[in-house]
Amino acid sequence: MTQLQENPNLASISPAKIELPSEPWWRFFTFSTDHKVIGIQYLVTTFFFYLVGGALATAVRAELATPEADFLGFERYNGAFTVHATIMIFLWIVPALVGGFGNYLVPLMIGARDMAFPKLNAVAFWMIPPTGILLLVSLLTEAPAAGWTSYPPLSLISGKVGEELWILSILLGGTSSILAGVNFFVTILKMRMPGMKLEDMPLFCWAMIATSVLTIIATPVLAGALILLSFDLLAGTAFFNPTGGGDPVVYQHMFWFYSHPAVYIMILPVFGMISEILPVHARKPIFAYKAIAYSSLAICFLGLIVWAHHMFTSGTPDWMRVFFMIATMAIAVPTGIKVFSWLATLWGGKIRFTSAMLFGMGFVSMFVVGGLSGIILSSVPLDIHVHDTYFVVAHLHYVLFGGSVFGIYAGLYHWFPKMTGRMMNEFWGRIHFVLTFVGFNICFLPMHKLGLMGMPRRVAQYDPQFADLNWISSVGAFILAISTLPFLFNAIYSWVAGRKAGDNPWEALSLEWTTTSPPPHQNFYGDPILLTGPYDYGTHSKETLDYFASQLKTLRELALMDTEAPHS
Amino acid sequence: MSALNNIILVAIGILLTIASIWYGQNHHLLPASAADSAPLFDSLFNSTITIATGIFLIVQGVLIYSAIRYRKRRGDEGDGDPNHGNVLLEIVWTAVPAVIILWLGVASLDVYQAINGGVDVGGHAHSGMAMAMEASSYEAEDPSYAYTPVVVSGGEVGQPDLVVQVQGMQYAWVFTYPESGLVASELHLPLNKRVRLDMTALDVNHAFWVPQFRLKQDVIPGRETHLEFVPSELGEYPIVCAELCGPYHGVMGGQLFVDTPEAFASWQEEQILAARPDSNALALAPETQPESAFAKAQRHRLGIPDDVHTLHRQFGSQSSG
Amino acid sequence: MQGSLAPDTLVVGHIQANAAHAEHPDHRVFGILVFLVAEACLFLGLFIAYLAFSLNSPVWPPEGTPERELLLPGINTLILISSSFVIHKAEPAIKANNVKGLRLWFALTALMGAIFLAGQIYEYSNLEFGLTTNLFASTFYVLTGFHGLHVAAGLLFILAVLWRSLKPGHYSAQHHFGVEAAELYWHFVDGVWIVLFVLLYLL
Repeated sequence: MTQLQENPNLASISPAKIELPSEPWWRFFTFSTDHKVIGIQYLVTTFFFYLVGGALATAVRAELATPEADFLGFERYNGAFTVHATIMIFLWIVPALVGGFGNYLVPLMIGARDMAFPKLNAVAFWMIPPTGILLLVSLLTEAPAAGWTSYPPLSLISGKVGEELWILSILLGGTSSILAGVNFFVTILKMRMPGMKLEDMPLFCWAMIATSVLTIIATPVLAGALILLSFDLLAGTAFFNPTGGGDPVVYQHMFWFYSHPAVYIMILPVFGMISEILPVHARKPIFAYKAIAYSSLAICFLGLIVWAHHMFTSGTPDWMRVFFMIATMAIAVPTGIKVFSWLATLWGGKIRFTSAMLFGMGFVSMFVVGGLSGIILSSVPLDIHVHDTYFVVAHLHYVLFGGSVFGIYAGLYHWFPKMTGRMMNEFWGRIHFVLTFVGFNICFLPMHKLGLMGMPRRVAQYDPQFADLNWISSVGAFILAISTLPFLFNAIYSWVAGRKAGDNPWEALSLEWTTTSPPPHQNFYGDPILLTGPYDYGTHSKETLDYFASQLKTLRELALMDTEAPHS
Repeated sequence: MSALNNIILVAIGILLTIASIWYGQNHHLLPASAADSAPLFDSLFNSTITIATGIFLIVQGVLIYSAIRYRKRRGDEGDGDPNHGNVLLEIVWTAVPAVIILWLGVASLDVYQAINGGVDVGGHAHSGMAMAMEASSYEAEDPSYAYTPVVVSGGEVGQPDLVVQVQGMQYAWVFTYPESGLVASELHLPLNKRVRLDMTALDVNHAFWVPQFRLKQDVIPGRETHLEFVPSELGEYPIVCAELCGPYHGVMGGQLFVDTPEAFASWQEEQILAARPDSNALALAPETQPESAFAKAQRHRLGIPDDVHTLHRQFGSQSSG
Repeated sequence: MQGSLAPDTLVVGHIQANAAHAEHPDHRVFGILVFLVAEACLFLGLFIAYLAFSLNSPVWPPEGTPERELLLPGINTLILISSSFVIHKAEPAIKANNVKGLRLWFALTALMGAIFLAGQIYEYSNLEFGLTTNLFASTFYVLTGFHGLHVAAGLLFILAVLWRSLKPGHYSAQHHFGVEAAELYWHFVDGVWIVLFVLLYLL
């Protein structure tokens, strides 16, 4: 058939030789500079923290199952929701998306051998465990109890030790994410394989550019705020303490200047992942590539100028309220573009209902609910009523759980075969999806009504008129807690004994699927080759694609022979 | 596209519209309303819910339809239609949300102005002149405006009939009526009178929220914030603290009573009588609070030179008897 | 039809052919620049907080803040700004493979940086207000202190480059990333000081 297969050298290669040396398990516990090892380190570490944060969430919901504060008690309740939020944001969603998926996928997708700064990358990862340890230690002493927003003056009087541990933990985590942000920005702009223009990149990489820009610009401002808060706490200054002439509202501005962009840091990579996953399993090109790519940048820009919409009731001057309302509403446009483009991607496809696809479609469905409640929150007069109520809790969980976590699950199911070389069990994947989807909606849907009817957030005890809906919500939370079990066992079992995946089990076209599963140290055998665009579904015949695959395999064998030749 | 398809599409569109409008009016998501600005909120909220329901149904409908119609059939290993863009469609779904957002922005602005009356909550209240001008420019706007301004039964916006000083502290509200010097732990307000609350906190941030009024304002130590409204329904309403203020944040509440003017007057008299000598209702002597320390520093900036001071004198003299 | 495709014509749309995996490309200077953007945002946040505090206060600095002397900080500022020009001389030197020149200019910069830090410490010890005197005093110490830390870090960076330059051949016309990075960092620290000086002493 091809000239290659007539190559006499090839005949002598036994299939076993092409088999890859997989990473020995202990490599994942070392200071490895391989972006794939680091990516998996991030994912496993953060998943552990997700379980811890989830346990805290379950405790919080157990407390709220009845109107009286009879499970955790008042003080411990505040500690529990504070640490829950902090873990979920700083030790799960941000590092899992940016550190985990970003690390694993970006170099593979742009055809690079590794990140621009591999050692820095490892340093950034190894800051995560101490971040978590500091936070968990604070739970054992006196937990920080001023909420993850940690507004002064409350944060200055509710326990010095826990608060300071919280600050140190966030500063460490923040530094880690700035370093990662710098690394991604440089990697994507400078390390793309020759011939790959920005507009040839998979959309995940666009999302990661936007994410890194936000990280680089916004995170340092949070660090500044926390340094000042630390001085107030320990040295007796009064930056945010009105007793000494300081202004607590300045903290709120600095805090939200980071923490609103942080919301986009937590959702933009998911947008990117969904833009990868939907086309593969719908067997269709992504609809409106450029619109999706540029809308990420638009969201990045707008995300930096909307922070004060968290402060509509903070005594913010009128002109600010109006400006931030308009800017916030404007974000609906690029976000809408993405959602409609995803729907158009599904339209006319041949959808394969894999677990990854179920979570991907679940993401679109749930994220839209969060987006719509976000529209209500953006309007000043409407926000004045619902601000700091359970409506906000519902909204943020639809965005961060229904959005980010569904997206992470979709990503895990989708790239698990690439990362481990083995398939996850689809049956248990579906069980996992149904449990998560049902539990999630039972848990968070009623909260919309609770907030609108008058239940404030962050309360251990509440008006008995809200008892029924809270009880339903708690049942949902328990289902949600249970729903992680099938995933956990599925992942562990499949990693050890799952069906072998092969290079490209989903017949996907982006670059990471052209190498082996898991990929070798330098990612590609020989040089990466762009045979197709990342979304060229339906434009090549099956025969052509099979031919490409066989050619890649042949090239790989040749490359392997090249590397082995000097030794033999 | 066949005629049948067109008919089906139109029918779906009509059904969607009906469903959205119906839900926008019948969502039962809000408590009763009791301030005269609350109907403005409700009407904006209902319109927003109508639009949101429409978008929700469209998105979920397309998702479910695609899941069924475009599922992979058994034995079909092929790819879908390689269509990767449609400029017209993209323009439509950029422009339509933009228009909706523009509408919502303008409507929100109008409602906000009407509810808030241009009272700058962050610091001082505007002067009466500026207020009157803003109010008139607001009325001069588009006559087809969806939210008919409610006729304010109380005084002019920015010129309240009653001012109440509100102090938030862990974990209680204290209300002071400067005219009578009355200090109370529950808030009584006369029906249909314009009320302004001058609020500050003694220790940490709190937020004053009355769900039935649809109004909320953070109460912040070291600065004075304001709320202005006209209670329009008699009754008893909860005052909820909506900003985390410590472990017992959930317990921090209060009652708000909207009374007839007569009932309000007699309540005030009763309270003043009850607050004579040995009443321990005023155990919270202001000297024991950190408030006075920073209040002094902030008073100048806030432009409320003497109010707080005289208040304290009244407050103090009453408690000391 | 596929049979006609030889491996070297395995091209659909885009391709790259030559071996580029021999060396990890060096993007460290770009990386430093991006990192400095993050650092700048940190200072920017602190500056804006300072402005917010000052605009919120009726009198700024608050009444009772002792007058600050301008002479010593002025001299200090001049020293720091000139050191930026001094360190800039090092780059052409190393580009001409002149390691001695590099050492000279770096040593001079280090000396000027050390004088600046000493001046700063002297100023601290003679100020009539402490960290918690009032809001201005707190911002003054935190901003200058935080900047001082950055100067100290830059100084260590410069000394490290000096130390390494002792090893023959460590820096050459082609390979002198450390020199460039130290210089960039020093310019940054200098720029921050100019804003700081205007904010804290002149406004």
